[in-house]
Amino acid sequence: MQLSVNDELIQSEHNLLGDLIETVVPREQRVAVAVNQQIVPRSQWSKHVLKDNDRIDIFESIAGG
Amino acid sequence: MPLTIADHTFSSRLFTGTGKYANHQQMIASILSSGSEMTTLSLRRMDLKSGTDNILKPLQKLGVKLLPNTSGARDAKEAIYAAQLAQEALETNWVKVEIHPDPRYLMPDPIETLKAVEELVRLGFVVMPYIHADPVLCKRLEEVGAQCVMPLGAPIGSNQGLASKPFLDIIIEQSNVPVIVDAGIGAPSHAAAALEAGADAVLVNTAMAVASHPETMGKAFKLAVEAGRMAYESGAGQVQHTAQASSPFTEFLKELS
Repeated sequence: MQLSVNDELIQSEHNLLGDLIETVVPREQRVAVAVNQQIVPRSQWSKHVLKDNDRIDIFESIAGG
Repeated sequence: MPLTIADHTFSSRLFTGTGKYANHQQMIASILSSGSEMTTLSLRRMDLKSGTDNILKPLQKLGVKLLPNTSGARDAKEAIYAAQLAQEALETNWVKVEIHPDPRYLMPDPIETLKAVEELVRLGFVVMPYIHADPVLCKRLEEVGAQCVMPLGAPIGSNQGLASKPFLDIIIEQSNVPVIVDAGIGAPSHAAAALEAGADAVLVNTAMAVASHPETMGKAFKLAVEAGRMAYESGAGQVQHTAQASSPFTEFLKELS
């Protein structure tokens, strides 16, 4: 299925959000994830089923004032 | 007396930011020497190609409280979304709300800020709004449940100091929540002046981060904030228009003539 991950179009074999996150985010990195602009809590990642053309946004902390 | 915001007590009245440092090592050294117990962070979408900049690890080692901001939000809706993302990423319900649609002066939007604060308070956040030094807005934010107010001294990163001083004085006089002067503080003397005037704390980023020696500048800010607070608690004398002699005039001068 085709997914948009942070505006990049990718072909994914992963049906579950948790599996996708594992492949694109380093394990120790703390991130927040939204699917179609709805935040999905970390506790739901392993159960959240992705659909074709879903838009996934992954956010990380950066320096700022 | 220590500073309390929501349920958290701080012994340092200097809050810091993590932006603009040349590297993580300088950032950590500077924050450490400043004695700051809370520092700000931003959020952004990860760049999947260039990899991540893991800023969290060194900050967690330092043990400071992390305060995510909503920088980049242009309206209340975006700020609320950013706060919720930050809550998820950093596991904190604290947030510094900053909404500045204009990139040249980064002036905070008062209307969107008030809307965002009201909703975020309702959602259970500890909200620290960055705003213009507007006494009326500060009261309105207090009324909707902001745990403090963060009026600017001058535009973000401008190092102009307390350009808004007459209005900060009114805010400090009227506020029932802590007043944290944020933005524009370019030198330790500015921070000291804010604390002397009765501000509860200051937030400093650029002035520490862009100094030639950020670690030493962090220490300078620590001392300035402590001195300013000490002076405030000591009760400074009133400003007078005319001279008031420090030594008593004595009669012997007359006898000489």
